Amino acid sequence: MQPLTREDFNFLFHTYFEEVRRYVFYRSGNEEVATDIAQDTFLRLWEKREEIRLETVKGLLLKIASDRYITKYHKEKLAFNFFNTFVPREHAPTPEDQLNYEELKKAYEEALKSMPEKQRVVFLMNRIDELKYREIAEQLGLSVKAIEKRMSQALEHLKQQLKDQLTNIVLLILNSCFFRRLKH
Amino acid sequence: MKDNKEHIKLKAIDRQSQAFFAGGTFRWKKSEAEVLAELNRQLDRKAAGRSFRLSRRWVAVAASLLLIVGLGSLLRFYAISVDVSAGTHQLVDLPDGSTVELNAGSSLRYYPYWWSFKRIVTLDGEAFFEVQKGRSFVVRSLQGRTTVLGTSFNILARGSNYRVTCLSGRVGVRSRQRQKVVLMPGSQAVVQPDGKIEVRENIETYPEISWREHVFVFTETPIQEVFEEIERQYKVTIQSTIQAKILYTGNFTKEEDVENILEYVCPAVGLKYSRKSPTLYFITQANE
Repeated sequence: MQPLTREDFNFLFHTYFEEVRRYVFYRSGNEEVATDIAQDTFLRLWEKREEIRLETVKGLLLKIASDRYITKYHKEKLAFNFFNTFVPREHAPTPEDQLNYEELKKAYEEALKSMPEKQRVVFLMNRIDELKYREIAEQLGLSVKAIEKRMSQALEHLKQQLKDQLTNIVLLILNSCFFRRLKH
Repeated sequence: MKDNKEHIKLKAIDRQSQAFFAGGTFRWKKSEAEVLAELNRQLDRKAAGRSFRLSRRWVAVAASLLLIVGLGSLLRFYAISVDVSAGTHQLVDLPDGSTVELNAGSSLRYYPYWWSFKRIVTLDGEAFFEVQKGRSFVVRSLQGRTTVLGTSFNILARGSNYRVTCLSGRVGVRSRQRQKVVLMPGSQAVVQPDGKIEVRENIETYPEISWREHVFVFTETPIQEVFEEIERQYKVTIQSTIQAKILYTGNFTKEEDVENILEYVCPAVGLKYSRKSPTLYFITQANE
């Protein structure tokens, strides 16, 4: 096993830093913490450079990040500011839609905040990073079954939390279906 | 029907959240490039501060070295101390069969595991040595150092007194001021307060080692030293207010009762004693 060189290190950084930072962000909903932990994680990676296997480095990184996050921040009450950092794609042309959109965003922020961390990570990895269950399972070292379970729990949680928005959402979806059918 | 409604809601959430989150962007305040630059600075600092890396192998090597050094120093510095309190004598056997007879109120220290490399003992007090032939045998004291090959000799190292008497073989004596003499049998080295060594030849050696037989011989010895000797031999405290310089000449054999001795010593130099307790005596002028 060759120890990592600085080039290897830079390469691994470019490949995985964003994913590590997102992972901690999904867990904490706090940008400063996510950046801090991700940076720390790569420092640890360099310290362990003699024992790194490239095949398993992604899992290792997430594991380091998770451990660091738990020891450093887990007990603290962190400010949850998801949409300060994450900006959904703009898709609200009319002012009325804009209003709905702001309300929706607020509802999601609350729902994500109250969602258990384990479900939130899986849910966001699937929705934002668009990873398949199998991929999420691999990266987190869990079974696909466990991912499925967390995902459905997450959706159930959203359904409860977004009750007020739900009528709008259902209507919107029905509308779009209706219009799509008209077009054809 | 209700189940179906719930199912539709769930499906709606599923699709909506997919649409809502997909394709969004992260606006990080600290860019990836900034983090990398910071990391590289940190790593450079580390590399500069620590030019060697502690890999597991090196830790193991260092640990074994430490163990060896530790064991070595245990062998080297593990010491046995013999402290002889007042009122008794003690015979000590050294690892090579040499013997040391310690007078009351003396202490001896030696390194048993290092003995085969170096025969060295530390002495405070008085002792008679019978040393087996071999490599040099060193007796260290605060006041000086005596080196022999294989002989018998007596050392008195108390307070400012340092007196070595050679009974057989050759005995080398060195004062703290590094003056050296070699004694032949029947001669004695007395280290003066200034570090100079006075050699007395053809002396009568018996008084020097008579303590071994509990016989005490004093020749023009300051009376305070005589009382100190009595204190040591009998484990008593003798307080005296005598300032005058009184020299005592005489000898006595240790008897059961210290009062017999005081009875014998005091009148000879115009003093008297009074008993305060079985272990405490006051000495005053006889005519007071």
